[in-house]
Amino acid sequence: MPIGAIWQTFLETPLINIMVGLSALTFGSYGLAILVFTVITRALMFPLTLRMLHSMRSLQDIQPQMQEIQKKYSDPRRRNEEIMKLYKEAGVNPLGCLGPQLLQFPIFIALYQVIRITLGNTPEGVLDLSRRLYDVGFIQDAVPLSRTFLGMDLGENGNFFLAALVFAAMWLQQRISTNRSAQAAPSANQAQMTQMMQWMLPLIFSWFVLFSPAGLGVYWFASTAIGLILQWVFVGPGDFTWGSLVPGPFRDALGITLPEPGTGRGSRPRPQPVAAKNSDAESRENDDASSGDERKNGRRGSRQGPRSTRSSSRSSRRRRHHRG
Amino acid sequence: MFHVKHRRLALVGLLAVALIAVGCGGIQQPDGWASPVQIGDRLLVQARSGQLSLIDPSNGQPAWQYPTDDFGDRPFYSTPVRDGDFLYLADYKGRVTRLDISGGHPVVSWVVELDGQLVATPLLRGDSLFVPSEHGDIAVIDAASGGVTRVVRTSDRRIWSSPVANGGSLYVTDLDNGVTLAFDVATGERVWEQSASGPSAADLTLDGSLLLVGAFDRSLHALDVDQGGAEQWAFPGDGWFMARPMVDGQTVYAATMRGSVYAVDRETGAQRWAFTAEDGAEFRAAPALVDGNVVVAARDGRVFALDSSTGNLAWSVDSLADGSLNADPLVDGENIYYVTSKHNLVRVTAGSVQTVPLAAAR
Repeated sequence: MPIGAIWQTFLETPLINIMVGLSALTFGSYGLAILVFTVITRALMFPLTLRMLHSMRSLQDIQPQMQEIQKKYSDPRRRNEEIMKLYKEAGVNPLGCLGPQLLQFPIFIALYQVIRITLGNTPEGVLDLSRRLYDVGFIQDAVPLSRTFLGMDLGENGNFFLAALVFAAMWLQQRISTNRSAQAAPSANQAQMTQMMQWMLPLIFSWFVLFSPAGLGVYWFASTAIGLILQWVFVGPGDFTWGSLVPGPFRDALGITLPEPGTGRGSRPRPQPVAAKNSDAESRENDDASSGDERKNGRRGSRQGPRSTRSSSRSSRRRRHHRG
Repeated sequence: MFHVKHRRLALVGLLAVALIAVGCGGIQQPDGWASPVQIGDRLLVQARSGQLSLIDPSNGQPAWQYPTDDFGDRPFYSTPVRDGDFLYLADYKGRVTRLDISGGHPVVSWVVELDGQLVATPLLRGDSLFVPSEHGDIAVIDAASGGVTRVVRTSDRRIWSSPVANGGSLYVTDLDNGVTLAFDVATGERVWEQSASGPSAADLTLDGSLLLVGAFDRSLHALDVDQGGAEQWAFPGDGWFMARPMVDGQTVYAATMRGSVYAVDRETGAQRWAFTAEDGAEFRAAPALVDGNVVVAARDGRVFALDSSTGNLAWSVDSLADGSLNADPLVDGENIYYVTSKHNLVRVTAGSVQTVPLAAAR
C-alpha cells in the first residue's frame, strides 16, 4: 500500500468523518467540533501526558546528580554511560516528554489537511469531500460546513489574534515547565537552551498558525490551554507566579516580591552546590576510574530538600530490589 | 540490543517523516470547470486554467486566446455567456469582462472588479447581467456600459448555482443556508423564500413553473414558482445532487455524486428507473440527451449512455483522459464535448462510441 494511501485511509479519511460527524452533533458549528475534538484527543492522550509530566518532574529531580556527573567525568562516552545509568535508576525516560508532542504532531498535520478538505479552500475541494465521506446519513447531510466561529473564518489563513493567543499560551506553558530553579542551573549552555526553547517553540508554532487555516489555530490554542490546566493541576505551577511576568523594574515599583525558588507547589529545590571541581586531568581520570558506586553513594548522600513521595518510593523499591 | 532499538527508532522516525511529508503535500489549487461554448463551428474552451481559447474542434488549433497574460490564479468556474458578438466572462477572483468578438479577435469592452469570488455562471436578462458571488450578493451590471446598477443582497452565504429567470422573477439558491429565493428582476426586491430545498450548488432548471433544485441533502426538490416556491415533491437519492437536472417531456433526469442516475416523473416525483454505476462513479456534470439516450459522464472519465425510457445501458466509454470531469458537456449534433480538469477537450461520438482527444490549444 503506498504511503499516501496509508495516510488517507487510516488517518485523514477517518478524521474527516469524525470532524464532519462532530460538526453535525455540535449544532452545525465546525468551531465547536474542533473544540470537542481537542478535548477528546487530550483525554485519549491523558495517560501519556501524565507520564510526561511525571517524567518532567523526575528530570528536574536528578538535575544535581546530572551536573555532578558532567563535572566528574571528562570522557564523553563514560559520561553518557553514567547519565544513562542515572536515568535508569531514577526511572526517567528522557524521551518520555516527547511522547504526547510526537503523537500530537501527526494529528496536527492531519488536522491541517482535514480542515482544508472539509472547509474546501477551492470549489473542487468542496465536491471532493463527497467521496471522502462514509455512507452515513447524518455525516452526508452535515455538508457544507459552517466556516465561521466567533467571528473567524476557520478556513482563512493569517489570523494574527489567534497566532498571538497561541504564542501567549505556549510561552506560558514553557515558562511554567522550565521553572526558575531549572533556569538557575549552573550550566550556562543549559540555561541558554532553556531560554531559547521558551521563546523559539511558541514563535515557531504561532508562525505556523499564522500561515494555516484559523481552525488549526483554534485546535492548537485549545490543546495548549488544556495542557496548561493539566500541568497546573497535576504538577503545580512550580516557581511560577503571575508577578514574575511583570518586568523587574516595574515589579520593584509595584512592590511585587517573588517567592524563593523551590518553595512553590510542584517546584523543585534549587540545585545544591556540588563538591569542588577537580582541578587537574589526572584527578578526573582517577574519578573516571572509580566505579559508579561512588557516584551512587554521593548522590544518595547529597540529595537534599523535599522529594516527591512517588519518586522516593520508586527509588526505595529499586534499592530493595538490588539488595534482594 | 541497543543498535536494534536505535534502528527501530530510526525506522519509526523515517515513517513518521514520510507520513508527515505526505500529509503536508497536495494542497489543491483552483482549476475551474467552465463548460465549452459553441461559436459558429468553433468551440470556446478553458484550455489552461484562467485562459480561454477559441479552437477548431477538428484539429485543436486556436483562433485566439484570452487573456494572454496574468491568468494563472483566475480560473473560470462559470461558463462564458454569449450574446451575439459579445461574450461575458466571470473569473474566480471576481473580474467580469465583456469581450467584443465581432472582428474575429477579442476586444475588451469593459472590465468590472467585483467583491467576492465568482463560481456561478451569470445570467443575462435583457440589458442586465446578473452575477452571483460567494459573498451572497448578486451584482446587476448594465451589459452595455459595464456599470454596476444594483447589488442584490441575498445572504452572506455562497452562491454557486447559476440563477434562472421567468417573467419578472429571478430564482437563486445558496450553498450554505439551503434557501431558494425569488427576486423581482426590476427592483431587486425579495418575492419569496423557500428553505425546504436544502443546500445547493447545482445549476437550477426551470421548466414552466417547476423549479428543480438538486441539493446536498441528497434530494431533488421540485418547487412551484407560481405558488410562492411551495414544494411540489422531493425525490430522495443516494447522494448529493450536484449536476443540473434535465427535463425531457414528462421526465426529469438527475444524477448524484454517488454514481446514480434517476428518471423521475415530472408531475409526481415518482421514480421511473434508476441506474447505478459501479466502482465509485461520481456524476458532477449535467446529463445530456443524445439520440434518445441519457448520456452521463462520471468524474473519473467514464461515460454512460442510458436508454431514456428504460435506463438500460446502451453504451459506455471506459476512460476519456487524465484529470476529472466536472464541467457540463456541450452537445453538438451527435458529438458530445467534455473539458477535463486538466483542460483537455474530449469529444465523444455517441453512435460509434469513440473518444477523440483533441489537441489542446496551448
